[in-house]
Amino acid sequence: MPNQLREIRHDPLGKHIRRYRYLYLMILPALAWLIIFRYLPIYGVTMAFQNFSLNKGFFGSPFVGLKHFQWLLSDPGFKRAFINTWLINVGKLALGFTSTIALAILINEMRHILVKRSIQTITYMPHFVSWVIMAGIFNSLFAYETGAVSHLLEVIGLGKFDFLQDNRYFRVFVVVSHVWKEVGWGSIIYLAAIAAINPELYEAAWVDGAGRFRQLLYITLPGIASTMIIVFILNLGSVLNWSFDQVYNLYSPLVYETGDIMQTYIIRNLSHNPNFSRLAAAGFIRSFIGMTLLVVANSLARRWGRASIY
Amino acid sequence: MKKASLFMLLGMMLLPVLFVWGGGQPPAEEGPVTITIYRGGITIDPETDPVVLELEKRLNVDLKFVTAPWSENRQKVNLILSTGDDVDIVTTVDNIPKWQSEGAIIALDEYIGEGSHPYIYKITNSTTFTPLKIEGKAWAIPQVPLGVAWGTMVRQDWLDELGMDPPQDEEQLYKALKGFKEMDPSGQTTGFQFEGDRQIRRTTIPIMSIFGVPSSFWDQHVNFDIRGGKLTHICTMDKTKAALKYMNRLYNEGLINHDFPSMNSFPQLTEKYIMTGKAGMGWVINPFTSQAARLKEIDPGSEVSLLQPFSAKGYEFRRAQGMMVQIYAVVTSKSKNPAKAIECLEYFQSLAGRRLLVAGVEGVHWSSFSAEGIFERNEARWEQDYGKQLYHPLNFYLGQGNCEGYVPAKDYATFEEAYANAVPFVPASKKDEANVRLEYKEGAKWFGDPNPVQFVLFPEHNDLENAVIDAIVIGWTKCIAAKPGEFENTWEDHQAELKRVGLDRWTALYQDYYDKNIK
Repeated sequence: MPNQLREIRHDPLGKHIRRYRYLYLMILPALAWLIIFRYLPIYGVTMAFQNFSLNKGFFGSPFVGLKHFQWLLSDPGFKRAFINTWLINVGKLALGFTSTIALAILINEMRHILVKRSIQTITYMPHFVSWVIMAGIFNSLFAYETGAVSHLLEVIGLGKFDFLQDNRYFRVFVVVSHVWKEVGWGSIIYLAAIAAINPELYEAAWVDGAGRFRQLLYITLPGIASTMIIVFILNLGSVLNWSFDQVYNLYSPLVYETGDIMQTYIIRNLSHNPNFSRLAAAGFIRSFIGMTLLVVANSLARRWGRASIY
Repeated sequence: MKKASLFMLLGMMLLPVLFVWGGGQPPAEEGPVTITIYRGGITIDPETDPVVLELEKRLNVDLKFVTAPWSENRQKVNLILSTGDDVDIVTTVDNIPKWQSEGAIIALDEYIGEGSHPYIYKITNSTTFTPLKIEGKAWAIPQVPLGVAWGTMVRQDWLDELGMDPPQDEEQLYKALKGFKEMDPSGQTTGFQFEGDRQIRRTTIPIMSIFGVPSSFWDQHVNFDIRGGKLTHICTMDKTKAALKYMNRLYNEGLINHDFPSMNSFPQLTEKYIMTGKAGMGWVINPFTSQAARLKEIDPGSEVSLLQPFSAKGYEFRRAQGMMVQIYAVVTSKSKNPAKAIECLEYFQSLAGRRLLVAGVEGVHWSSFSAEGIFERNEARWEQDYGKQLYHPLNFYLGQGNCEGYVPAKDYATFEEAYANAVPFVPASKKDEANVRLEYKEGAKWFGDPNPVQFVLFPEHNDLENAVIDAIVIGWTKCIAAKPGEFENTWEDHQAELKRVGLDRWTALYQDYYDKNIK
């Protein structure tokens, strides 16, 4: 085996490809898809530096440099939307990250198979309901005057809360409702990671007198640490792209201050005056920040000797 | 093994590709020209609809339709024009200067003449629409509404039950709305059904008018009070503040639905709430014709009346101003048959075209038409094809705006004269109810003051325009929804925001135009 490993490491590229040609041929379609739909369109980012017109095309549209970026970064509405995007999505990342792990651990601790499977199913079912439908449900449940939740809170003496139209509560509502919807689905990967931990470790720990909590601390969490880091890094890279569906269907002019995110801000402006260059510039800003976060997080993970994506 | 896996995988991937390529339609034979039209909210099946089939026969075209729900209409229009989709005619377009500068639409002048296209020629060369010309050419056909068939629908049976007369001032209106709310023990019924987001500019029209504010159906950002040649934007007027304060009072007492800020599918949601008995008043289209009939089916004991104009104490009633739509039909630069597309648009405006689009097919849906627009309908056949609808669903925005009738542009020297002599079409069976004509007559009580700057556009100031629109929508929503005791601060914040986004500059643009071209 070590000899074989040595051979793989020292094969020249051509020989390596020939040796594994059928594997490479298998991934060729996926690679082609990646190049055509993910890499080639990167050229479209030039739109952000032009006054782009689809009728004139990339080569006919005039170049304007950083004009759109300057407009976006000096526009108070965009700045507010940028801050809201950060606050809401980082909140989702923080609460979502911990909740999915906690749920996975709790589900894993269940012994009764039927109860375990039922809870798993119930918790990940909301993931499949689109935000269009979910927003309708939330609007009905949490409506200030007619919502069931509002009535319930009033009956138990907590008073009425305008979750959807009050800036004090809207952000929190968005974060919590998102986590509620996605926690079940997000826990699946951690359940799989926990299932991959060698059960003998738990037996040995039990023999050594470790209780459930210490087993959690010293076996379960370290065992899924790599998965946690990979998932965290991947989420961090796309953190600025979340929330559009949810916010677009839930927000209203009353909560623009705390709920208006970059995508909704741009869409609102787009519907008045379509400007693809500005949209491209906003997308470029988001992607650049996301990529920077991903690179930084990955470097830190590697530095700490943990799993990393690359 | 690896080879076998690879070939199996490639085979699986190629199979669907072969299906897609192997099947498909045989090449189309030579035949009528295909004209593709975008029009939002299409509910009929164009492949089988008798009116569409008849249109195709008369025009010798194959009509294809592209559509989207009304809530997504603007985005869809923007996408079609931006991406150069294969569409010949796009309706409900705004921002003509932008599309003209992008080369997305064609100038109509080289295709139309007063003799060959009398309707389009008269409309595009009218005094009212002169500001729309760019480089001296017409690039779009304004979709002209016949009148305004909108009104504030009131549950008259509820008023009768409360023993109340129709409101004559704002306090009586308040008492009526309070009565409507208190009639429902569950407290779920609201008095006045509002909708929010950008619809705030429309649903507030009745209250604005009562307080003397000359608002409009289309866009509040071009609403000015013009006195002695001076333009004052309505958003800065004390009357507007008074109207918003009144609405705020209604809101805080639960007489306007609390969730209005997030309701944005006007007027469908308003209609739904009224139909389900959750609101006693709301501003709707066709209150006497469609809405009353629908409500009667659901609640046979219902009776409908319209809120009549009155003045709030200390104020003088003002009608809303301007034409109620500012949307256009255009021919795209991607059209392969622009001449044919324009021929279709001309036909949609003509008497024969209007009769077809409004009343249906002659000999099938109706047998005769009088000069006054009364037609003998084949009720059984109409109900079979279109149920309870009074007019064909394509009648508006395909050719003209809300227009269940005909503007005889061909028969008059100017479009303006023709518009003043527009003819609404009414089925003879409804003639005695006179509802359609009554709707326009009632609507005219709330609409119709001219707005001389409505069609003046400043495309180079689009960012300013968007900022002003946003500030108005947000500011009015916040003012109406302000918590008790916070209205004054909210109004001040709204004024500060209007100043910050540049309402002064916006007003100055229109003042300048007015001084140079209209005064």
